[in-house]
Amino acid sequence: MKVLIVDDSSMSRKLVMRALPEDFATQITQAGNGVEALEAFHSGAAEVIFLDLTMPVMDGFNTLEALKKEDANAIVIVISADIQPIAQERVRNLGAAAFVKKPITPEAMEQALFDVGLI
Amino acid sequence: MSQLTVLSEDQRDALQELMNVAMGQSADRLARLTSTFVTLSVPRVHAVTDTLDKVLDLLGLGKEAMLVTRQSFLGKLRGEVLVCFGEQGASELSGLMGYGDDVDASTQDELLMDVTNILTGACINGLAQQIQTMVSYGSPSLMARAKSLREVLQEQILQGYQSLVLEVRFEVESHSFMCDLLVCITDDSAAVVIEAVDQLLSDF
Amino acid sequence: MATVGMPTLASVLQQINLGVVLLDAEARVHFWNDFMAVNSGTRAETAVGQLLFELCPEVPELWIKKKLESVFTLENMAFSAWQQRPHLFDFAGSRPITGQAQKMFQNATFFPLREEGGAITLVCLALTDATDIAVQQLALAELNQLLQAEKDEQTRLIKRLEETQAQLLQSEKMAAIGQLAAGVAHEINNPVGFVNSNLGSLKGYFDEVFAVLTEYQTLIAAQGNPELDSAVQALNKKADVDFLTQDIAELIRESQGGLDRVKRIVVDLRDFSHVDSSEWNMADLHHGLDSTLNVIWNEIKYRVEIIKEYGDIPAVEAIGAQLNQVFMNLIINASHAVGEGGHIWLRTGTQDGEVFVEVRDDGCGIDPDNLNRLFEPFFTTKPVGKGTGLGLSLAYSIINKHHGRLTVDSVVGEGSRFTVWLPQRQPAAAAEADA
Repeated sequence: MKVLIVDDSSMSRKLVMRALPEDFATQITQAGNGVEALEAFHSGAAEVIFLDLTMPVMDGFNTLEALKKEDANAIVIVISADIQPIAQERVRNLGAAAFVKKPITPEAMEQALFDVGLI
Repeated sequence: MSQLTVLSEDQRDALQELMNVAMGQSADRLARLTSTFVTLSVPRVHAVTDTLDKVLDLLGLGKEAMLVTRQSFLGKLRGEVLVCFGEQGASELSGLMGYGDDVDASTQDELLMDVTNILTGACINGLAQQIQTMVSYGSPSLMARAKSLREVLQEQILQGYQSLVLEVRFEVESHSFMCDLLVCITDDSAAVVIEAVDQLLSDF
Repeated sequence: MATVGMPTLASVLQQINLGVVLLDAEARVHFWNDFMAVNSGTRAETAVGQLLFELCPEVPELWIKKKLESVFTLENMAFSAWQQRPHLFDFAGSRPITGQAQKMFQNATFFPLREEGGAITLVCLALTDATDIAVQQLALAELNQLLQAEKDEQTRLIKRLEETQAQLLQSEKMAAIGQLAAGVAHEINNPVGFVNSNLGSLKGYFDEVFAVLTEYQTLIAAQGNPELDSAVQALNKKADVDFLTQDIAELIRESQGGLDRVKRIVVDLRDFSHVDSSEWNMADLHHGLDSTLNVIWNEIKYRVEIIKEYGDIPAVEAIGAQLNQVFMNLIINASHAVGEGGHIWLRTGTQDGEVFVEVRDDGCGIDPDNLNRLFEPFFTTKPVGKGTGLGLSLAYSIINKHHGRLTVDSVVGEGSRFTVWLPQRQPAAAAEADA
């Protein structure tokens, strides 16, 4: 599975990587904001996208919108500290398949991947 | 020299992420209390190496007249939070907090204290939880009215503040309410934060 | 070391010198310690089970509910400080003898009580007595206010001093002008006098010369000499004697009229400045108004129309020259306000034993913001160099000195009305002291 991890914090990206089940990812690409994420996606780097919401340059909401507009065929799992119910609802409406609270744990990651049918 | 002046990029990144999670929790609580959606900014961490003036310039907070409140947090994690309200932002509070429109001046001050307390509590609790320490709080108070943050800080004799300024911005869309939080952590307790951050980083 | 048991801890809570109340989400009281019982007069047995805002109606229901909600929702402390809410509970002051505080000032802290499982079911309200600090702070604030008031008073006095100095300057200037005017009047009076008398003689002489001329012509006509007749007629025609006869008389009359006016202006100038009498007299205000108008006529005659509506007023005890100064300021201000083609009404009369002189115009009016500052010295809306800002303040102080009032009402775009109110007689002592 080709994985794209989008977060402005490198520690946060590392935490996501560490939470992934072994052998899940065949290729991992990292992006620091929405613009970088879209570039990476367009170059075919992603089947699954782990997306943060609060980011500089282009935030997660706008990234989701852009992906939705171009009918992108990637599964997006939002991983965010913004845990307001409205934020969760918003990202689902924008096409996110799952929402995981920060700080992420391997258990929460596994549950999310299971929920969206990836494992 | 403060340990924070030599914060590595990794440490700063980790600290920012800690704050991000803490802010997320406080935004969620604020949203639940006020039944609104709260927009979060990307928290920024500034290690204060130069003068405070320079930091204020960096924050773009120095010059406008504002209403400034403060509240202490005590324990292993010690410091004060300054909350900067836009001058008219304060009048949006009574609506936001579920009171009627016509509240008198002292009730409005009281609401300011309440919001200060809520934001400080949520933010510092979040941080304390992640670095696994206990905190207690002093009661919030009004620091200045209709003054710029620069003026306010110049009037104070600041002790050992030169360590860490965490800047967060809360925005409540439905009430055009906005405020900035400046979390100032004392020199000695900054070490506690760094330790926790290093712990986090060493896990990789 | 002896172990402290739970019953002891319970006693501590019960007896500690600070209010301890346990509340649930509805604000129902679950615990009420001695401090609360003593100060409220409600025993724990009565208090427990009641809603706090019913038990203590001074605690607002909405307020306490919001506080509790925030503590329960945020799982965090909340506060109430005496600065914003001085007397959360209506308790008597804690310094009954020496303190001035009738009621106890209080700080309150609300904190969530976490049960063993982590759930929060109760909130603790801890109430501390802040009367001592509050009283001290309030006293300090009062002192500060007092100091500020003193400072303000000093500022006011300094301003008064400046004001007085400015008035002194102005009145010195007026006195100098008055002296000058009197000198000029005297100097002019002499030549005007002999020119006038010469003109009178000249008129007599010309009358005689023309009478002689007429006689000559009659005599020549009686000769019946056509040659002589035509020569005389040619001479008459050449000199246009008919016209001369008429015009010389007219010229002399006009010159006399002009001299009369010069004399009147000189008299008015002297009246107006009145160096010779800066003392209290019974003044004829109409006379004062007229002579003032005469003096400033040149400045206003081409621009505004003056409409006199003089009533029947008695003489007023006053320093005439000073009142004239007031009238002049008011009329000149009015003329500036109306500009070209405006009107100024001068109305006089009596009302409730007071004599009034009203100067009304249909000019631009005065901005309400400026209305209050009108009589401040140096306050002017005219461009720099145009007005000193002293005219109205001087007028005000002159009228004050006369124990009268100067009132103003104005509507922007419609005009202004200044009214001078004067008592007919001055209080005896004041008139002597001020003279």
